[in-house]
Amino acid sequence: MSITSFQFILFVIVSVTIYRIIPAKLQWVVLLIASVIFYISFSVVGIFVLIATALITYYFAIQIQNQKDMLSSWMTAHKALATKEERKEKKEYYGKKQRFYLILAIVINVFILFLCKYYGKLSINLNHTFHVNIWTAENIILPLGISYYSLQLIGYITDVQRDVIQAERNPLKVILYGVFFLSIMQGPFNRYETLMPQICRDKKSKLDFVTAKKAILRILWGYVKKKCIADQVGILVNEVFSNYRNYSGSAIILATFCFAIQLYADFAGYMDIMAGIGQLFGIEIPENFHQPFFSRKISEFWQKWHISLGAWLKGYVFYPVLKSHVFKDFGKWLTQTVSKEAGRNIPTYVGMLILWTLIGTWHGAGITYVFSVGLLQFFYIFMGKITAPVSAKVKAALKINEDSLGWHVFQSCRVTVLMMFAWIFFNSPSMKDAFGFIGRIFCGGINVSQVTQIFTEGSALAGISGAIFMFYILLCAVILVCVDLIHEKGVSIRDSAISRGYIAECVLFFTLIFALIVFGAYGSQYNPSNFIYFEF
Amino acid sequence: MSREEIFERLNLVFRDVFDDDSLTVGESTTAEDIDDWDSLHHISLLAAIEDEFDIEFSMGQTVKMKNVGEMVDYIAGEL
Repeated sequence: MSITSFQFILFVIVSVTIYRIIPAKLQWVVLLIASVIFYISFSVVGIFVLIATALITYYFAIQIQNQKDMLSSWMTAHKALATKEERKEKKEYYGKKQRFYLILAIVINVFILFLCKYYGKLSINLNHTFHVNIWTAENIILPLGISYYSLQLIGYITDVQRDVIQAERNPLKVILYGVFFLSIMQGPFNRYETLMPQICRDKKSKLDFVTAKKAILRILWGYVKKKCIADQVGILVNEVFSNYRNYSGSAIILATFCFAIQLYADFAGYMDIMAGIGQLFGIEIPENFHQPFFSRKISEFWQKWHISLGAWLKGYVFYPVLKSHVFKDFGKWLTQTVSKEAGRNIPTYVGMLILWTLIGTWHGAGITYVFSVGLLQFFYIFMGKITAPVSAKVKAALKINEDSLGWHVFQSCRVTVLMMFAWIFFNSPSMKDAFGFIGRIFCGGINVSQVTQIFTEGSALAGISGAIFMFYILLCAVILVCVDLIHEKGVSIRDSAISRGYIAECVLFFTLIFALIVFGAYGSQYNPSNFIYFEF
Repeated sequence: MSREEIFERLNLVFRDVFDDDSLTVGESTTAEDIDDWDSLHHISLLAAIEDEFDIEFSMGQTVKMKNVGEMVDYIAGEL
């Protein structure tokens, strides 16, 4: 059931209607059934892997909770009589058991993720490189959304161990947390403590007319981003990236720029659709984007792009690694032997390297992912940190006003160019292709005929002339920038339209509908592509 | 140790970690209020506070604390 299909829209309408009719205590059951139906429409076998993973996590979370409850009972019973040492001993005893169950659950989750997502490619590479014949796991399927639900379930059980939440006693609710259809395909990563209280309510949340209008406008804007911007721009991007040897100079640069537009419109468009549907259910899902292209630094960009992934990794990988005894001891050793500065910074950089390698690996088993959205990002941030003192001196010498608009624009452009460069690797099948693609940038210079050619070929699919297609792509970029600029100023276009009355609402509503009908990528020649992040 | 004394010592730690002698934190100060207080500095800050007060922040506390006031609550509870 494609998100852009009529069946999906019908599925949402039916689900929301039933959800809103039945009593509050049963609403989560509707979401569970809807989520399972949605999942099965993509993969029947995958649902068994998901349920098994959720039940294993559920079981170990209960075991951890039992250990916590036993410790708590002992403390209550012996509070007055027990010595400090006895209390410490009991805490350590039950703490060890909790850590054992937590580690076991994490190992099982990671093992299933590794087996389904990474093992196949790794084993083929090993067989090819070392001329061995190890099992290649050809029959193992890649369950839909495994990269998302595995991490969410690890987050859930870790939060139980950290006392952030109590273990859920109903296994079906843990399954729902894993399979929740608004997040299963491309995120965002939900935290159990924020998502589940919204789903499992005692009292019904009311869907008022204004919220419904806002939700529908957001869904429509999401579809416009996907169908009218990402898919149309994608025609040009696919043509150039697939046949980069035929293009050079300006055409290659144009495709690189267009891929940034495509990726953003595609991913953020999906999030708008899901967040809008969430509003119809009375569920607020976390925002994943916050005008990322206005960032001044790469580190800031990653706080505004795929926000929930960064937040997950920060809370469950980065902080625990840096707070581990190994890293603390490493830091102390550096402080004593090198300097205070080194003791503070070097462990952080090592932690960052681990973090970025994981982010890259999370996107896929290929080296292009590990490099583009992993190691290269670490390199950017690391260089930014170590060159900061020199950069400050240069800015002071040149008397650059850091608060000026011009400087902000320069910094945002720099971030965008660095990300566009990284995404060349992200969108290339191999490192060789990526370097080949980059090499073509320096051949040919400004080649108007090639640029015209890609627009003409792209426009043939879109069914319009090359000149109009070129104007259309430019318009897409301008619209995205303008909308983000308005949002950056703290203004919501939807809220403004609704507050201005029916005429403004209708203008916005019908403009979006008109754009979808007229500019959306459809037709027999059009091959509807999945969302880019669907693969992860 | 009184809350004021905790704040006094905490301010010295903040000034040292963020390398800013004019920095003063209050109950409602958050990471949003200090330019350099990102995830990289957060762990360095907690490590410095742990050393200063001879306490240890659990992982739950590391991710749960929402402002300096909550940090002080935790420190006061541990002392």
